[in-house]
Amino acid sequence: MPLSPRMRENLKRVLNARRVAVVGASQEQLSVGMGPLHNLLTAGFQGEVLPVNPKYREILSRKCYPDLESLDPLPDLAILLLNQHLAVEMAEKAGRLGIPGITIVAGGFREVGHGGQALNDRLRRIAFEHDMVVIGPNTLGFSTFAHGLHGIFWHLKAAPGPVAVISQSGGVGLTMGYSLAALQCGLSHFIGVGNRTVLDFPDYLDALRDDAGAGAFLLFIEGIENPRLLYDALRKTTPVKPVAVYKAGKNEVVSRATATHTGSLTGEYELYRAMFRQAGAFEADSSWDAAVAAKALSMVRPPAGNRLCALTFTAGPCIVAMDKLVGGGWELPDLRPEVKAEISAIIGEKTPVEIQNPIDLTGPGFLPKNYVPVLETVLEEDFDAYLVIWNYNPMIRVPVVEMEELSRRHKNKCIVVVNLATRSEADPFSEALASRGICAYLTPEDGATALNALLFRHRYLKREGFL
Amino acid sequence: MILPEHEANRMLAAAGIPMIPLATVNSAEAAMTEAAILGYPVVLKFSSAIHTHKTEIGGVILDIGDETELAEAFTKLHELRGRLDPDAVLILEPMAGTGCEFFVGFQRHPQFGPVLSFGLGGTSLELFRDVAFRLLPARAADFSEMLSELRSWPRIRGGFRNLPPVDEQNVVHFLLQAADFVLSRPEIDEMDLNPVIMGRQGLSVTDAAIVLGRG
Repeated sequence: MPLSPRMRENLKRVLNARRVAVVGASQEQLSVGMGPLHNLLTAGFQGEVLPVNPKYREILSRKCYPDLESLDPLPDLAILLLNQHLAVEMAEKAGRLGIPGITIVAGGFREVGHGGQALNDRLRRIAFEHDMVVIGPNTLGFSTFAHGLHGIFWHLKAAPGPVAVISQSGGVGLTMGYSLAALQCGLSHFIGVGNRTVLDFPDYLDALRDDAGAGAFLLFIEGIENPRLLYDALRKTTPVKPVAVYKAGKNEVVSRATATHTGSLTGEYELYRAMFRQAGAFEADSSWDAAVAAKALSMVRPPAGNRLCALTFTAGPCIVAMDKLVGGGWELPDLRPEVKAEISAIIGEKTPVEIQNPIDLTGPGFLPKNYVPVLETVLEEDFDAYLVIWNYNPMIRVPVVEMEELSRRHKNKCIVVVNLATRSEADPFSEALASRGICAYLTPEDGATALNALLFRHRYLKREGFL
Repeated sequence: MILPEHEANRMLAAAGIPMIPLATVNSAEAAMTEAAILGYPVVLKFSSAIHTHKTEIGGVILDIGDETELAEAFTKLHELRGRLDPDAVLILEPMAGTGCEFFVGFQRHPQFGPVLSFGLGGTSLELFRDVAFRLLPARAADFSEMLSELRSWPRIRGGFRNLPPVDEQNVVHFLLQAADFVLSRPEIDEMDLNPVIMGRQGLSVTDAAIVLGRG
């Protein structure tokens, strides 16, 4: 059943809630009741947090309310940390009071079979009767990082940023969130869709499509009942914002018996794959790759074409990247003879290397005084994208400032940097690059995945006539 | 309900889909008259609503070169009809020229809705399963992209071995036509066009199966 216009409005309001009730809040450190409260109070939430629990008068030195009725004005969101039976009772009450939305963390609904199905159906009736949106049940909840509305009950240390994670699994969603954090990429939202009893993927996409905070979407999908609705929602989203998706359940066998080849040939996953592609959503092969792609899509403007130039002083990583890049549809046109001569002159004629694309500067290349002018030279050339590979060495300065300067001067060029280094050594530079708007990774494969996601986006925009 | 091949062929041809011309024949004499019009070599087929996998039951006799062979083929399929399906019809077609063989399929999927499939056809279909899918409705640009998803596309597009090159525009136009055909006929549940032969003279569908819904 589609959401009513009122419910659609309510969802937007809930995602930007200013007054949040935490029902079943507790100060016992190992209880679920502690999670959202702790997160909301420590994440710099700019709104009001209202603990509700008849057992306490005060929690963490905050006034604790006995019930939802005592809250005036009513909260925008009530996070219900109650078992499934109490949660449905409380949902009924919240609905009657006119609270726009609730999160139900508890499981025990339709995923457990018959008894759960009845609770599930009742919850749906309540929601639609009162135009109240329900996140979950059976979910970590959601967070809106831009204003510190960290409402999930588990730990996710993420900086506010452009990527909205919407996940069918809390665990995989968190994994993608951690991966984004490791990639110095912040999150705008984290949404665990849970059982999707009332709100499903399309509803969240609809609510966030025009949200100024969400710059790109990262979805994890196990399997859904109505992929066609997701397709329609994706088709409305991708013209406005890029989407990366990671899908589980690739090996389900086809069991439908049909009279034609058509029916028996089609595995469900193949249809998902075709659907993502058709809708312009980039599909990644792992939670990490999905995060890598989402980072690039959220911070780099897609290239204007598939002409790539790669620059390195160590050949292997470039070869590894090329395997993926050529497979992704990139072409590496040769450099003009004048440019080759110019590069030879920069690195010194005596260096016995043949200058071609990818450009391997070898020994002389690791000096910024050679590397940067070569980069500057090729950025003037007719390429759409650049893979810039650096290899960290504490003795040699990483040309972060120059990279920023050059990328600012060449705003229409798509630049992805790879800094080969251990994570701990690279971190300061990764942060410096990220804060300057430069998209950087630590491995050539990640750099290639990022560029492939960007080329996919370019092709989609071109196919749809947006370019 | 499965439409026998000759009925599917008529329905598609009436909609402007380039079907191979076909004649239903009730006797060896009628077959010879038609063969003289179509020109040898010809194909004689068993068209039944029950036995749709014709090749498996020996219901397709290819490359019939003259009247003697045709008489022999007719006797064989006539006997098959008596044994398997008295309502079946025998059909005569000209032998299609060489060309790249494709498969075009359609289904109304319970979750994904109308879906078009396109891939390598003929016997390669089940052997290599080189097939791509698109949800319908789709546009020319979607179908173009679909071709490039086939693993074999880089090798067949310029003409594989002795096969003529595959004209992308032609195939895309055909897919648009096929999509229009099924979308404007809600009674069609499933459809197989296999093979669709891309020869030097253009595309031609040499076999078709259509499943009609109960509604």
